[in-house]
Amino acid sequence: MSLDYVKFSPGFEKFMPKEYKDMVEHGPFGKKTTVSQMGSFKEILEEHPMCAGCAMTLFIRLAMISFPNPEDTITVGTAGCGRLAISQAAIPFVYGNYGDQNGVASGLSRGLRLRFGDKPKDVVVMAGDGGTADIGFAQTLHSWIRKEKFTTIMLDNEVYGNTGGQESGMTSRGAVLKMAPLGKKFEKMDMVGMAKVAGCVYVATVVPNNPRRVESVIKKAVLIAREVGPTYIQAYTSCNIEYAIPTDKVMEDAKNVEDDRYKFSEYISDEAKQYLAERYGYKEFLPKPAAAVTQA
Amino acid sequence: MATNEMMTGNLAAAWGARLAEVDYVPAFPITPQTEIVEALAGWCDNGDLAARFVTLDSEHSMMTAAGAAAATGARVFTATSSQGLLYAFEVLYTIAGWRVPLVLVNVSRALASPITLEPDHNDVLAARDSGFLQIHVETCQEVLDSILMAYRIAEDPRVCLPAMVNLDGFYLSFTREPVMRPDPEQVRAFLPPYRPPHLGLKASAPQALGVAVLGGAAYSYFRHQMHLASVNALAVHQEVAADFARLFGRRYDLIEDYRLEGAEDVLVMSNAFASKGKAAVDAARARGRRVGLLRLRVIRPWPAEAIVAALKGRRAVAVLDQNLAPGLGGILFQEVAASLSHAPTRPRALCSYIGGLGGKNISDAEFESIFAQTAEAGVRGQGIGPVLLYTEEERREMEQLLATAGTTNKELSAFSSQQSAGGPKLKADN
Repeated sequence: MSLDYVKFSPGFEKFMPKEYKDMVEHGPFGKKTTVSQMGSFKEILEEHPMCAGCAMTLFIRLAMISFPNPEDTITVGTAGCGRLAISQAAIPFVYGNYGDQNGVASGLSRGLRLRFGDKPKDVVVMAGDGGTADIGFAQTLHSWIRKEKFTTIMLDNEVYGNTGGQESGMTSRGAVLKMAPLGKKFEKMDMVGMAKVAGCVYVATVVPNNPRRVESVIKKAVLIAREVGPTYIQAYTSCNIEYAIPTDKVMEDAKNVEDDRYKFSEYISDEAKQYLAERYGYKEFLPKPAAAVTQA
Repeated sequence: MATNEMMTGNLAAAWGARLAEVDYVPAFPITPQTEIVEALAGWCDNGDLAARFVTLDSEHSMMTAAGAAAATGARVFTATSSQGLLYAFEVLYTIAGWRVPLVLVNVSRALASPITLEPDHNDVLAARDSGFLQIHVETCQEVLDSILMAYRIAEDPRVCLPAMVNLDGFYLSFTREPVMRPDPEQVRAFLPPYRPPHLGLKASAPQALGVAVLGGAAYSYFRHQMHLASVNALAVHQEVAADFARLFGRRYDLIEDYRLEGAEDVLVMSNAFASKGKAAVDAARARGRRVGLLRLRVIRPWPAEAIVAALKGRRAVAVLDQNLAPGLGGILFQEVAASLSHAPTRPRALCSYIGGLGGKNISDAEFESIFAQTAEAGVRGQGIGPVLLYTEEERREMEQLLATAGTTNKELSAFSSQQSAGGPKLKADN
């Protein structure tokens, strides 16, 4: 891939919509953009068909700004709301079938390494809670157990949003949804615990109302997945439609849920810390200077 | 007491399961089916339906659980669509081989890739050789009625096979029509509770499902038994249809005859688009064309005799397939043609049309073109097709999209000539 692919078809320069022209002229490719610069460049995802006030869309936008090399990133999605937005971003996207995203990403990641071993290409899975923890559970877990080097992001809206609001494995116990009219009978699945057990070298939980933190988490996860091992981010991205959160209260809800049961957490293996420090200059992970030897 | 009310195809399907007083509903959401299991979840939770409703983690698990529960002798219902049916695909064959009766409603939706939500029948027809019986319906009333009939047929000791009832996504699933909801007592008379003595995995009668049978002789025996059982379902269907008509006043046959009397040429269709076909037949009849429509309803088992009886002696027959088998053409055309090959007075011409893929509309002008081309083929004594129904306007729009995406003029003219390679290009103005 190269920066060359976002260009005009000859003869169509003046007919292309403004959004496309902006992408060619002011896109983030080849630049180091950050979330704090939002609004000063054309994001790879801006236009999308998502609902007003959708926290998932904000998270996806932040994540895409945070990709270390968007022009060399391939996203993989599956059925669900998220893919409606992700598939419209100006970077390559692959959709196989519902729940097979970590299988698709395993093949992609291996193939890209075979073809372009000298240049990193980042594979990032962004799938919903149903795709990751229900129908795709086996493929997700096994990609981690096989130590596949790519990033898995769960867009956890705690519901089947795209089909209109049915309970998923990630729904909290007691939540009333369309296939659980008296409330869900089982606990929310502990995918963070399972990710650690299955061998992810970086695991984080995050909510979208802290853009700098989202950026930090995404960058680390993608960089670590290049060489060290599988990485997993679980993001609370509420469904304001199915959980009836007023549009202007979506961020407040995220804050409340974060305080209550979705606290920021980050696990980094020692090997991943060392890799970030040595390869990408993460000072906080440099080995601590040896304490002065005290004379006996 | 029977009541008449407006309901969508999906709600009619849920009512079918409710009136059948099913015991167990394993479920997983997929558009455009989800409303069915949502309605059942509500009724199970509020006690209107004394069934156990469980959300599974995928269609694969859902179908496996459905088959296993049916093997205990419970009456089981579930529903899916499209990719969900394909995800459950290996299970379909397995549980048909277990010879367990259950009813699966498939809400047809075209298959990926590319992805759409709208209907065609590549999903359900992919499962035509699985061993499931298949009933394809045209109206919301027929959805409800066919589910009740499907349980009777599937549970008949001469059949013992799972059954699929197919309705079109969007065109039927989300379309409200007046539906006569039968009286529960009358349904009980038609479909008594299911307590089969041969199922139940009792210790006193040990039984294994899905055992290995190497060498082929035992395997052939069991598979042929399935074939014979499926063929039995033809006669069983007619008995059940007679009972149903007596109790509820509505009669469903293996195939539906629409204005076939005196028809020179016959259009063969299935599912909800047959309503468009019937309207087109009415319009053509009003213009003096002697045409009729044959709607395929029971597709597995294949009612070859009934089809031959309806089509023999006609001048020409056109089969409009809402599916496409790449490299072959229309699936149902092949089956109709095979059935007619030994008919003593078979039609002079068989024409194959592909239309409604991904829910694409079929316009009046396209139907009129089909009738005109079929009549010509009948006079000529030579069939045509497969012809893709694709209007000039649709082609122009597609060419504009391709040009915007950077397709060269040379490539575009290749696209245009491909359009006509499969047969004479259909011209329709609308």
